[in-house]
Amino acid sequence: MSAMERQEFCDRVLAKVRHATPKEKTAIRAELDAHMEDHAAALLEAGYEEAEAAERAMYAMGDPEEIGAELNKDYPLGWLVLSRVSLILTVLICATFLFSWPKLGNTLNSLQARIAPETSGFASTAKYTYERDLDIRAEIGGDILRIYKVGLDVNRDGETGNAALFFCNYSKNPFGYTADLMYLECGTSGIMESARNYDCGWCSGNAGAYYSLVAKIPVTRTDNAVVLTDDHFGKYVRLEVSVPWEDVT
Amino acid sequence: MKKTKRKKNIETRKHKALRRALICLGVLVIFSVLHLYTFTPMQGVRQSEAEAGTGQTYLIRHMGGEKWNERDYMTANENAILITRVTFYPLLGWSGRPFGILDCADGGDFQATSLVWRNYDDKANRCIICGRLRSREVMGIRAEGHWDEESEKIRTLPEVTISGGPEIWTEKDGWRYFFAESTVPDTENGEMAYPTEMTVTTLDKAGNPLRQYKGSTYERFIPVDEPQ
Repeated sequence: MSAMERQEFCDRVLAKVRHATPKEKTAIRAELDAHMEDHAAALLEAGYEEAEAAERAMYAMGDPEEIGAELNKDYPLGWLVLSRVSLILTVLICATFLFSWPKLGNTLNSLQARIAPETSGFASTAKYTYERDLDIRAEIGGDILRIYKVGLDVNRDGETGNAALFFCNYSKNPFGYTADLMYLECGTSGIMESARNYDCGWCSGNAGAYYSLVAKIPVTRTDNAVVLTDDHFGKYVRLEVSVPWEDVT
Repeated sequence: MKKTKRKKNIETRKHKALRRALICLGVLVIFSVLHLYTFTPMQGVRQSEAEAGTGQTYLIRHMGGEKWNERDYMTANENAILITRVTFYPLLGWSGRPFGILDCADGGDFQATSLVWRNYDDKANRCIICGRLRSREVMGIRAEGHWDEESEKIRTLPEVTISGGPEIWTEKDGWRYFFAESTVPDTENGEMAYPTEMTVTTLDKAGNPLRQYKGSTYERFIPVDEPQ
């Protein structure tokens, strides 16, 4: 059997394998060729002439259309579609990482707010005459409100001054988003106002954590604490922060 | 010892497809968890919930936006109603931003607010009233917008009237949610126009007024002292 006849045999087989890719068809052709060569070699060893051995080997393979129909069952279209769609989707999704990787900064910011908020680039760098580091945390829905510092500037009379609260909020889920619309009220001696009415000297951050500074909260010696509350969406939180009058000389 | 060659397992098409599908699924999960890509509009709504601080809300209705890649979602829970504008960006997915937030924790049988959205393409403002109520007697809503009388620039602008019939209602968990809107074009000299206060009147089946409420834009409506 000439190479042309063997090729024709393979072509007739492959014509029935409708959903094989070119690469798969090449592999099938190579396998069919290998089978026929092996059989022909065995017949040659048995004493047949080369041409007769090749012809017998080809006929021993069987009907090419039947072979093709059987092989076609091993190459269903559905798996091919799933394979290619999965590959394309994976590549496309991974390609978006080129544009979305900055979002990982949200997670880093969230973790930093948990561990060392004062070191964050989003934290206010305002300075006060008297400062005290704190770690007061409260749950507000899916977020944590953390007050990490209180500041105090005293007026000349020594009896009055302005306090400031440094705080941040982050989601309980380090990969989640935190609220950027906290409805906080702040005050002393029972007089509460929206935190935004004070000199909100600083508000910065990203979806991982927001840092705020509520400044110029008027206090007197009799005000032992500044109160911060949140009362929205059925959640109520009240935090008291001691004013560091004892540090005032 | 004679080494036996281990026959290499040929990967079938099925195995290859399943392997790639599993990898794809793994990438989907990782990107979702890390919020690197939002694959569905509801993930955008979750983002909006987190930013607004409302807690998890449940879908009431969704509406098509002004563009092909925009959708508006009305969601709610026991203590809040949230309106979210979700926009699709091919490189980032569905991004959700809260556009209307109503705190309902104080209770009441009528919980509603008004919103104003800017439509830059049409150079107009969408005036929206949305909320929920319990009354089965209410069959319609009529809202009228009022302008800041002190501002000469907007004194001559027409009133905004929003009327809603049965098509505006969605029922869920004993509440009847509504979402109705009207469009207010810019003035002739290109100034934006929007009402600063709205008056809402609930109507019965015959169109008779039942009760009146008033509220500033983005604030909750409160009943007018004397019901009509």
